[in-house]
Amino acid sequence: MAERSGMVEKRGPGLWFTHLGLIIGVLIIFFPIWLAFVASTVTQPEITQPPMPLWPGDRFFENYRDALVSGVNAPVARMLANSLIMALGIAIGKIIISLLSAFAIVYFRFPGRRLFFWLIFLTLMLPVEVRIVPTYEVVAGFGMLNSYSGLIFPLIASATATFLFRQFFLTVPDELAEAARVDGARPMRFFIDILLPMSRTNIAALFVILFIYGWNQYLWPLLITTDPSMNTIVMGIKQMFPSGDDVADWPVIMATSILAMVPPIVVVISMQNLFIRGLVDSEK
Amino acid sequence: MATLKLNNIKKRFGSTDVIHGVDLDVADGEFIVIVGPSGCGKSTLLRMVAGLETVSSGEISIDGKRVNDLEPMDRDIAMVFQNYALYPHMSVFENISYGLKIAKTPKAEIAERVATAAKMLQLAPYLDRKPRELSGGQRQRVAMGRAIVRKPSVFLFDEPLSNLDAKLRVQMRLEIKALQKELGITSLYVTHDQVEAMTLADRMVVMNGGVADQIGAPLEVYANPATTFVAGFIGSPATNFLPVAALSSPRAGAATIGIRPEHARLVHAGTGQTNGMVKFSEALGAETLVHLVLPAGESFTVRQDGTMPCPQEGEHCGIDWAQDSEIPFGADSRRIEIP
Repeated sequence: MAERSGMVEKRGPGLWFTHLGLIIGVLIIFFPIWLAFVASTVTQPEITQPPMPLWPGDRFFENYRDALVSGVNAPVARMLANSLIMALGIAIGKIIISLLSAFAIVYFRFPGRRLFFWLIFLTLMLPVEVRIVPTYEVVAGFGMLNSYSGLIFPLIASATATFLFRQFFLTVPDELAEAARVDGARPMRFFIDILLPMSRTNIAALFVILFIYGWNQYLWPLLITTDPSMNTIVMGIKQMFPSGDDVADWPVIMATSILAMVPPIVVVISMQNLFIRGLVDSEK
Repeated sequence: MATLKLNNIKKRFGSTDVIHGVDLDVADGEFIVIVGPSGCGKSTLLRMVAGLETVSSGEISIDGKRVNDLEPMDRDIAMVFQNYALYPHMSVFENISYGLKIAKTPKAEIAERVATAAKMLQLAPYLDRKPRELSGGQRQRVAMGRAIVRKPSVFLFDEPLSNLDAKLRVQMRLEIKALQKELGITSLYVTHDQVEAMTLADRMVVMNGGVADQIGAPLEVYANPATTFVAGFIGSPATNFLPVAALSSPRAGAATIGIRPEHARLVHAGTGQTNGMVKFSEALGAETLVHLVLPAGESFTVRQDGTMPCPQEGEHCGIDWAQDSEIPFGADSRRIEIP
């Protein structure tokens, strides 16, 4: 009976094959990262002569210390800090600006409300690359080259996030705003006491997405930072590549790559918990 | 503790007139229920008193002070919303005390007032819970608690019981009535349920199409409806209307007469004021509602005692009533007095 109906019998090997498939998939995806990690723990000659080592060497601490303290053009610790400031600045700035603009658009009736909404929406159609030359002109004109404000401000307005918060605010029942008015809450009080706590799941989700967006910026930092001490890590890795007859210091470059991956992973994993808890808790 | 006065209140949305001039004087501590079908403007009227809608013309005064241009928070009112409008991320305690917190009431006083309100509403064990962990009736009580702690001059209720199931509605109705009596706060209560209006009101306002058709004590309104609308809306089952032309003897000046179902009785065919055929009857135990069709096609309902014999479907009966129980209406649907 059991063999023919199959459900229970098939489950054993079926489960096995499923897991085997998944494990193989994970290994394939993980392999290059593993190679990068291995390369960051061995010496330069070991990398350059085939076959490439597949197990970590004994130079972990030396290579990572070299990378963090001296790097190739600039110390990696410095570049990590730059990237962190830029990514946090973009993520937090974008969230604050879009929360406020969505609040204005949804809860206030002012002349040109729809026009402003559509203007914000329109900027969705212009990616950074399209407006990069005029933006560069403006930033250079303000003397913001090689500065954190130059890295952050041009990327800080976000139509996507504004749109997302607008949609969320529209689902909040009008009675809540009215109850708050009767309770004596002025608009900003309502925003801070009621709307913000209710949006925390959306904020967490957006923070993850925007942090990674900011962290991965490549073209813009490449354009406006000429001083190596202002390099961000993502563009810094590319800068480390040798030009002409230079010899690449592969262990240090690889250590830098591994270091560049750590903050986004930390953000994703730590925010994921909050994110899921927020989703489970959410009530409407 | 305050009086509330509405003076020729009108409301326009764009070019649509929603409320065509309502006058109302509410005495201190009085419980006024505004009742009417959906779309009659009763909620709009309440929201204007609350300050959530602007007043197109007319004047609202609370305790003799004009409040037309004041924000809700400055009018000294508290409101209970239909869907409770509790803040989902705040505990019951925070929900109830939010208004006091904004008003910068001292912490000790907040704690004391919330404790008093919670005791009154049997919410004390739930103060740390979030609204989603409460049942419908408990949420309703939290919404009431939020209104009570502010000690307002006027309570406003916007269909507060319509999200509850029937049994809980009856229970909460009694609680609201008892609470209002105990606190003695002037209240304005909006509902579409005429039973709620009859049981709660000191006086009720029957609204129809943006006009207050009648204002009066519930039994007074029931016994002497001012228009056919009021006669049809208040009372269940509804008043029977008969054109005078269909009656054997004329009624001077009247175009229509209304007869309450409990004032009519079934008699042998041909012996009553009119005749009808039994369509179906609803036996409710204590009483039986017999629905009949008259020869001209109107339907007629007779409410009789549950112990009375119940006619079969399709049977022809006479319907009789005492002439002094008739409620006569003129051609304009307004009540007339027959000399």
